[in-house]
Amino acid sequence: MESWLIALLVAGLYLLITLWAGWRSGRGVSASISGYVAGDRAMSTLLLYFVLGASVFSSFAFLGGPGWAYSRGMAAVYIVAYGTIGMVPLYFFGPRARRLGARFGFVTQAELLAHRFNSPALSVVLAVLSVIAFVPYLTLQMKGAGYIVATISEGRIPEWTGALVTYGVVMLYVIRSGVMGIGWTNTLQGAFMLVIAWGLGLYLPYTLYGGVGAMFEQIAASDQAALLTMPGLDGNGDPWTWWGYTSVILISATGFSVWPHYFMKSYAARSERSLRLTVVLYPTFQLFLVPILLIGFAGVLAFPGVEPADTILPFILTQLDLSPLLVGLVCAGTLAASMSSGDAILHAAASIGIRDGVRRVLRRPPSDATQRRWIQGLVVVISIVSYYFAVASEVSIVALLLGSYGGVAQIFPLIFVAFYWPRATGPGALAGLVGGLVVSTIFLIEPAWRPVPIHEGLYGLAANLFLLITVSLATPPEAADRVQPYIDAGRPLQAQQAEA
Amino acid sequence: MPRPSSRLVFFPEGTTKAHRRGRVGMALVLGVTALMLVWPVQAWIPLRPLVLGLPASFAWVIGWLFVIFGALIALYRSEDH
Repeated sequence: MESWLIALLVAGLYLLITLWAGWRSGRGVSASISGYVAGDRAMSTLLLYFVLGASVFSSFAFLGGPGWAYSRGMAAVYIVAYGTIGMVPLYFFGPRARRLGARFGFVTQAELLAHRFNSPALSVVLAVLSVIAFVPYLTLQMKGAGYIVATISEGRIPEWTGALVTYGVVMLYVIRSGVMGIGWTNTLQGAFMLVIAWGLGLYLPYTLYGGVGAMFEQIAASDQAALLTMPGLDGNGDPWTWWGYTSVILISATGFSVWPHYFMKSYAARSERSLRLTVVLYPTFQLFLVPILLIGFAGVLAFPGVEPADTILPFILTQLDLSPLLVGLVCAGTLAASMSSGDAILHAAASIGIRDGVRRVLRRPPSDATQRRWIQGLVVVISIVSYYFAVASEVSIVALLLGSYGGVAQIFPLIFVAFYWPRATGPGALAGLVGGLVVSTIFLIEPAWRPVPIHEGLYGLAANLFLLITVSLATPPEAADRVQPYIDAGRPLQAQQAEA
Repeated sequence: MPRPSSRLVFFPEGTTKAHRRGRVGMALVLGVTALMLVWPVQAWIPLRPLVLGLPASFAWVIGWLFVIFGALIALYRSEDH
């Protein structure tokens, strides 16, 4: 049998196992919205660990991560840096959100904020922001999946077919099983990704250079030594500025814990303890970026001049005399990375679109069963739209995605004041969010207008905070009985249990 | 109906001193880690020596990942008991 066919069969088998796991996993939860969107608030630490870990690491991890290390050197370390600090706020926010979700029935982030700030308009703005941020993200996952299938089939299967089959599988198990389908498939995919990344990340430096240290010594002694000088290179191959490096870490870390599809997993946790433990264990997943970056560095001297840089991992696989079984497993690992983010994004986008968007503009809220059907319908619609962008549109998806990071970070101040500043009001929150988004977008479109070359999202955050504070102080406070549960949600578990 | 407080309220009534200490400590570790990973501190970290085969500037970032991990474990253990 030909090598490409063996590799393709391995990837196909992986897709079948994923479909089987995702299809079966929805059977243990209720048919309610809480069951479909929040898994009846019964997700264990193991599932949460892999859902949060695997959703964070998308196809970017296996394609973009090595690509950054290969072409921009130490600049890629920023991915490790922002993840180190970015997840910690969820230790503080998550248990509060979970407690309030159980009390008031929230299953999305915007429901919590709209209730705290007594502002349905805020919910609709957040729904629009989330969907705008999610579609390019999902599109990139589809592109990555299509590219991998085309690579392992040596071009015999076009990218559009690869993306269609892979995301057909994702769509089926998301429609059928909701968040529990994501939970079990992400557990499978996450474990698979970890094994493949560590295996390949250590194997390549040893095979090509004789070790990790030897690899870096050889790069440092070569004409590519600039790659190892902090903060690495920019997209043009010139030294990256410290303004750029520092501000990208700060804005990415700020937005990390409040991405709506991560944040809403707080509601799915079985207990506050399991949610806190998941955040505690998260750095062990983050370490997986180390071998990912080593893969990219391994290509620097061994395979110079590969374009585009994001293709360095598949390029290396095709150049080494590896077993087709191993090539198939690595490609399946890359598909796992794409799907484990794509499914969570797809599910969150549809849930948010219906719960926070459509439901808010209707005069009579639809029943649970109707909402569930609508969410499943929106899963199909969002899949089709993203697929169109992935295979047919010339719109710059990367530009949209880069812009969305600055946009999502604008949610952080709202979450913070919802829990810690009783005086924050609905008009203040809405003004801060909209103002932050507008400023961030202006500086994204017109980078020359920035006084200093930092990420546009930081300008947005400054405007956001200014408007949030001043408008809140200038408007009447929210009713104390609305605000107090958000403060009380911070009481230690033991204090609540003792009182009960 | 009383007006909501205009101050930041990090710890509601009923929060023990030990709980406050743990949370404030974690926030401090988070702040220090953030400072260690950006300019100007990160700019002072040289390429050599290699640490476990990695450039010192790379190992520095991973080292702070372990600091955060250790601090989270300590906080979790203190709150779980």
